[in-house]
Amino acid sequence: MRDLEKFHPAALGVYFVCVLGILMFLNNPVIIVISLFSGAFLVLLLKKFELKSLVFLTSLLLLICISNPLVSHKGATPLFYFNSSPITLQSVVYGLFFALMLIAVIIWCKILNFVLGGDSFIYLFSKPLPKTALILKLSLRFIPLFKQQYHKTKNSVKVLGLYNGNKKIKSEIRVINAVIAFMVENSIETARAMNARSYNNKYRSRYRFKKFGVYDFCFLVLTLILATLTVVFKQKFYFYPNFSEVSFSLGYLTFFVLAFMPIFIVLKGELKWKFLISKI
Amino acid sequence: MKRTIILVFILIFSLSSCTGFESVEEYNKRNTTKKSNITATVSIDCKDVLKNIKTLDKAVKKIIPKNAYFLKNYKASVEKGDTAYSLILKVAKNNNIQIDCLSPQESSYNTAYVKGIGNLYEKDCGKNSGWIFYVNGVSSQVGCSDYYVKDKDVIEFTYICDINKIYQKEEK
Repeated sequence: MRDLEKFHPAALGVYFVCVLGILMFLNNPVIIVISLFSGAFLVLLLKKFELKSLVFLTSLLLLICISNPLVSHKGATPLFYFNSSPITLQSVVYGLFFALMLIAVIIWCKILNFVLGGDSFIYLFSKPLPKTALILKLSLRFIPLFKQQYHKTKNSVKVLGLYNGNKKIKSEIRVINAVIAFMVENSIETARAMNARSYNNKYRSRYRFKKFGVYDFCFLVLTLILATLTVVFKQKFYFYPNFSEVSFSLGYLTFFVLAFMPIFIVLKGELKWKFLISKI
Repeated sequence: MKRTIILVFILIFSLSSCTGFESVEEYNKRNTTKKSNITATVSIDCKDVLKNIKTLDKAVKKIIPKNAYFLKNYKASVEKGDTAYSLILKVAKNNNIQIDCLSPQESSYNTAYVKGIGNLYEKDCGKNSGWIFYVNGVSSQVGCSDYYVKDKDVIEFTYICDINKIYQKEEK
């Protein structure tokens, strides 16, 4: 289960950059579908699936699917006409695949956040870019912290009897005012605390919790080979004005292996665990 | 009370927008032109693309007509108050040619802009490519929705691969 996280963060970072880059910039429907399936499978394996996110993702899909053909009238085959401008099959399908790509990127970013969360980011970048790493980490934490503090403050204001249901806007302003004050204070506090721990000091030694081993090296090399093969043997796909044909190419196979690699690793760890249990 | 008012507004809005739906057959059957004595000759071509076929986007190569004409010397009857913009919309509809324009309201220059005709779009053949139009062989000084069509005008919509070359020619 924890096998994927055992890898060195640098190798994992390169892997995720490769997958996300290929997914976003090649814009090929086969690659989008492969990465969507592998990402969904991996999320289910890591037990990070939430029903709430499914509602959000489907609404995103519908929104883009409907809005793209209303704006773009490109394409050779009109399905029907809306206010005497054509709604074409090509723009509907383009919207569908664009939405699927967005969903795949969101899913992969979720996996990235899970696998490379916590200290790994600071561990990777605290030496070359200490200030940028800290600011990025703090800004990523900003929104969840804001949400959490908002609920806390709202509840306490309610308990104090200062939250007036009839004057909702005024009461909300009171809550948000307090939360913003807290956030400003908190950022100063964090900066002082990091300073006191002598972060960004030349002589500060780091706690090395991972070493770049043979497995990491193999993982990194395999990732780079597969990614370059995918980019070299890519097949260009056009949506407009007619769909170009999709035929088998080596790029799809290599991307398939690349996208399903973490699933093999996780499954292997899971099987090993089961095997060890039954022995006892 | 507020909710019901909002709901009614949404219902009216959705109903009014639903009236715009048409199937392909209905759209093709609908006749927009009335016959009149005033006529103009309209042609749509992309001669410049055939000269610069190297810079053309591979995706649109198949839809380029071999003789470079989407429409050649079509005699269109002109109603009163017809601009070059409304005329090309009608002509394209009658000849079953796809057309995509920004109407004067949508465009930021208060005049219509032709994005693409027959699935050949702006920027498909180089950075500065796009559609321009000539009236009687001279490029017009006003946008196509501000030019009112006169009797026996020859209106040409042409695809240009580099607009800067045209400007340089005119200056000379």
